[in-house]
Amino acid sequence: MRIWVVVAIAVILLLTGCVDGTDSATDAIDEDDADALEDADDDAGNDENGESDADGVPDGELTIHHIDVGQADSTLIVTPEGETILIDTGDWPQDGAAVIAYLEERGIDRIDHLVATHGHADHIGGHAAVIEHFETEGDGIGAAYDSGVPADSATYENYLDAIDEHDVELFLVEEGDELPLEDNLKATVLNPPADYDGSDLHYSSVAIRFEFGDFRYLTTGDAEQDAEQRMVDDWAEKLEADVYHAGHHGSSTSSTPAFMDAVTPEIAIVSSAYESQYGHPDEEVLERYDESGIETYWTGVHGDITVTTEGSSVDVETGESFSSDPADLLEEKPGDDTEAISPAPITGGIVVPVPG
Amino acid sequence: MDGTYTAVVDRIVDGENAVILLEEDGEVIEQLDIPADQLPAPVQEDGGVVAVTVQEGALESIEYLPETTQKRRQSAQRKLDRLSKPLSDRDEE
Repeated sequence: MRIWVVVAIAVILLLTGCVDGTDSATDAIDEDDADALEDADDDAGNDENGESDADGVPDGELTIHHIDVGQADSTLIVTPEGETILIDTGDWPQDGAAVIAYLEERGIDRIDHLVATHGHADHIGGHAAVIEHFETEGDGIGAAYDSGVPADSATYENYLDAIDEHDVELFLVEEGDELPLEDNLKATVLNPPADYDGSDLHYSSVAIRFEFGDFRYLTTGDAEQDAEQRMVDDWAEKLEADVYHAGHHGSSTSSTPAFMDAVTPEIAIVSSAYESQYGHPDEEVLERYDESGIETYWTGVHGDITVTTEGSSVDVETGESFSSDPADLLEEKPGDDTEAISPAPITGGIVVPVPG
Repeated sequence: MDGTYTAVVDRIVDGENAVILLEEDGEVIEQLDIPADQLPAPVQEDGGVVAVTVQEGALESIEYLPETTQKRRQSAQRKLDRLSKPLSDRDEE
């Protein structure tokens, strides 16, 4: 009987693989990278509830979902115990629909930590709808986190109104803060800078470094060259990561050489549309990744990109099969002629296409 | 679609492309991407609220609304201040 069950599962897996074109790759974490940050091992040893073994390697898997939301960002992190962190919620035309559907498909009915990296509409586009949905139809939002720099748009105002209406706790974060996570995952905020009182939404974009066993993940929202340089100056020893969520959708404003020298990722993940109206990811960024031999995934061709780790190796699964060689991505990227922005006639339709 | 809309210059992407969000009844209803150098000078630097006029389906004019921008920013800041607190002030549970 058992053999039949195994065979049945194998067949299902094969079928799923065929239907979704799911691709998978596994990488061992570079031991040098893992050893470089000794303090993390100390913290990983906080196993009061028996969640990590003697080596500080946690039990269970951490999963990071880079949801394909077109020319926008939305990343879901799920800990072994099922604690959920949602960083950004896509662009305004989708109004959170793609993100809510993605979470529902995975049986997630609560967001423990909802992060807005910054107030631009391609990052908080679904915040109001996501808050409304999980507060009224799910198990709620544990807490929300914000850079503390307000934006001008109605999209931003609606997000604050949803926070207000549903009494969601909203915390402003700055460098040095740690997200109050229950599970054996450490999340250190590296940006915005302490006591920032300016109005630059990109400079103050929330950047977080996650540590899980020997695994390191870095996400920086839309932090650009000036913010990257500040982090290099103030947090150089904390920037090293196995997986790096490319800043500003792979724009050349970000992933600058000094920053990449500090991060030295094995894997980079770019979240932008295939026919990005801004030409993201930029050619020079892909060339830079290629020169450093960084395995690169792009939602524009790979679809949803899921990174799974048990704390010592990394497995990447993608919705669509495609090379992770940055040179191949560069070749695949639509040419400059499709990127030109011109004041096109207004038709009453939405200019930015909503991914199906 | 013809008419005059309250809109916000949400962001300038890569220093080149302005993203303008047109509003109706407090909701964003349309996005316009235009070269940033076609914006009025004040909003090229710092975004803000504008009045966008659409004629025969094409962008006719963009006018910067400094007072509306200031009011909206004060209101958003007040709302954010009222609803939030620093994470470092969080009560340990």
